[in-house]
Amino acid sequence: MPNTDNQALDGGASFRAEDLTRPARTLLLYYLLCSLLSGPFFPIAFVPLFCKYATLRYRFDDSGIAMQWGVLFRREIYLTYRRIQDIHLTRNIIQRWMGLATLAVQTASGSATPEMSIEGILQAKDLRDHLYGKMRGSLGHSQPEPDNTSNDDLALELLTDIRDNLHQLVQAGGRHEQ
Amino acid sequence: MSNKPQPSLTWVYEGVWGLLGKLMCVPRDAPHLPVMDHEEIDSRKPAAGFLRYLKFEWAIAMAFLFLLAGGATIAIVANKNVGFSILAIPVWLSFFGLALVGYLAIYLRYDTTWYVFSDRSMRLRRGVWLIRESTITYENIQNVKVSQGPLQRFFGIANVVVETAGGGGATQEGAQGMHAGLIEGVSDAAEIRDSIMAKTRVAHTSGLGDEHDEASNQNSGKTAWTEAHLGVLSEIRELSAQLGR
Repeated sequence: MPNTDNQALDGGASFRAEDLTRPARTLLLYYLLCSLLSGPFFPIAFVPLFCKYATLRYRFDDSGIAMQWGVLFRREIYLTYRRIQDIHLTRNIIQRWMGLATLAVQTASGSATPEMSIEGILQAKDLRDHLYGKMRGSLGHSQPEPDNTSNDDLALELLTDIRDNLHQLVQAGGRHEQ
Repeated sequence: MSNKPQPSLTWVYEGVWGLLGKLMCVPRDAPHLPVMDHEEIDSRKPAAGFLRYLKFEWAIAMAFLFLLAGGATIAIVANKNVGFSILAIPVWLSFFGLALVGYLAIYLRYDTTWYVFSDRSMRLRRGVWLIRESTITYENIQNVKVSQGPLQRFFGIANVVVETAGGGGATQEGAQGMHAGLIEGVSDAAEIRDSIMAKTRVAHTSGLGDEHDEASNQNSGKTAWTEAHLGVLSEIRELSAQLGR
């Protein structure tokens, strides 16, 4: 079986997270299906979801992700890449059929629900790997050797000066005694 | 893989997988994890004992179900209630169907579970209906827990739960909390725990979202003084001692 899952979710090589600002149109269809599942309560379920879809905006910048939505009650979430604790990509069967995914991004705050659920991104796997590349610990544990040569040269210079001054003092004191 | 079902059942199973793969977009191979140079990827599945463990649980559940159903059937037949006796037939058929689906689900669960470890992070995938892939870097790991029940000990498997910072974490059994990763049904839990802890220990930060704080680390503590500094300092001490005399 070829990996259908990769074909469906990988957007190809030309992936740029900065270009993602709006969720894909399929998200609206997904929300429609979800609210249809609630049967007679369809309008009650659909209106908030439609409002969320209509106002949902993402912004991926150099340091973090911003996400905002809401008509009456506005919500805005901002988090930096370096504070990401773990990333969960979940796809239920409807989402897989539509090529959607929910990307839950976690920080170390004390809530059990994810801090940010990124929905409606077709290249969810690319986005996840992009975030993975920027999160803490993804660069490996390459602790650079502390290079004292540049920074602490001043300290060494000062110490050497003090020693030389002391040396002169000692010699001068010795001569004085004689 | 040595943990395939019986040859007679294989074609049924492969058919189910073909259907699942096409219709439900369930990936069968290991999740992909981006790698850096010289990075080793270790993709693994739960141990074979996990399969036996699940089957045992399934057998017990089914035995219970059929015992109950058998008792009910005997009671109905003894009562010579014809209407209920006819009703019992579809009920029994659906029970057999349930048992078959449950048995297949064990294999599906086993085959869709993947644990991928790299030098920096791990990616855990589980689920058939709801596929969930968690990516956790070692640097963010706060603690590793190993748990093993008596039945699991009998089958030689254990669960490893990895937790990151943040509340609302793992429940005891399922580890469904979002700040945790569950590595279920592995036979070498101790080695996995040790290797995770070794990789976690390499990280110098507390795993709470701060950058590598190299600049402040250098200015504090002993690292700021090199051999040269100490040499000059001891000379200064001697000279000042001479001066004092």
